[in-house]
Amino acid sequence: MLAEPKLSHTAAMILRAIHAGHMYGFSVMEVTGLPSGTVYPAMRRLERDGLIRSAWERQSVADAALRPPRRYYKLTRSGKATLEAAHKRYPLLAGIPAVEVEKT
Amino acid sequence: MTLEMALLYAARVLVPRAQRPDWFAEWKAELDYVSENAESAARSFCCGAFRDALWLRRNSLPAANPAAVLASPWRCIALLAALAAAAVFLPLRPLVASAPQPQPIDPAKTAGVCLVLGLAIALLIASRDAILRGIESLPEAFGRPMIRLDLGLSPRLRLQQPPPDGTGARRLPTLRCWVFLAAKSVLLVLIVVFGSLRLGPPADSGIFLWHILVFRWALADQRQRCPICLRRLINPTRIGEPSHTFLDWYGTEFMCERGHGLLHVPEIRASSYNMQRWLRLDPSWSSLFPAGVSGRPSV
Repeated sequence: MLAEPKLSHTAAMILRAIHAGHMYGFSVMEVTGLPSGTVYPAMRRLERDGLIRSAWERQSVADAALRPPRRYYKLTRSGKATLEAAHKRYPLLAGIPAVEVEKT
Repeated sequence: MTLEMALLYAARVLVPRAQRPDWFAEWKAELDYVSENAESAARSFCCGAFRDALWLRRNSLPAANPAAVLASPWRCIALLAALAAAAVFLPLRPLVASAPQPQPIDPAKTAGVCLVLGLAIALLIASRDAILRGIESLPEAFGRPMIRLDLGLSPRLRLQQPPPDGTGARRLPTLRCWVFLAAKSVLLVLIVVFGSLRLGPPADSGIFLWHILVFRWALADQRQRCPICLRRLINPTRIGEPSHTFLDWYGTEFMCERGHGLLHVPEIRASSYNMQRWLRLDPSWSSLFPAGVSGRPSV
């Protein structure tokens, strides 16, 4: 049986923030208080490990909001399972506030 | 252009070429959002782009590596042959203009010397391997470790060893490996000798050092090749955990892209795994690799 991947506290915070609806880099930075040099590489690592996946926003949506298209991140099924395990290890993660998910 | 954009452009250079457009688009979009919401933080936000770019550089796939040009044995020999031809035939100028002109070289004579020297080095490596095998077959009572110490022989010099459990029982095509190594050695000697003699001082004063460096590369390159098709091994994957050293094996595993086998490279040398091992894959694995290539030597 494969062992559950163990996350660092930082990675768990980022995973929790994405799950709570902070779906792009700067939003994750704001809610976790982590700097950009930590958040983005951590998100790349989580994506490489299959815990999150990313997708570009449609150009038409971005055009309507008069801004460039964003890259949104979402938890995969194994990401959700890992986050549940991380909650047991880091109970304070539940303190990260959820947001209304923006329409993409 | 703002300073923030200049920082992003500078960090962009560090990102592997294939990932650059996506990476830059993401950071630019995020910067747009940061500038709207927290303008004062935009500069420190962009400084983080360097760490992100470096992470991508360090963790990009080996396909982005320029050494991929040398993946095929034919391409490797062709590249070395082109460099050797350039060293032999191109009118190279001395590095230092004021240095005394190097002695004219007789290409045929020097090439002959290089050929003999290259083959001698390849044979020497081969015979060291044979000597090691002989020492390994001696009983412990004969002072096996002492002999190895006295001769300065290390198991690391051997290229690869099949696993002892019979999975690599079929004989590896060693002749092909040695021919390839000998060809590389001859071409490298040609490049080093002609190149350093023609470039004059200070290049020629380090000729011995150049030889050591190029042969180290030749051996390292040989160890990273499939012994059957001689292509560079791909997909390095770390196996195991250092904390399990006592009970388990850990190290890096490479794969032949044509499905001939796997190479296990131990992280540290232990009595059970003191050097890299080749694990031959039988034809039942062929469905996982491109049709028609598994089990068929290409060279």
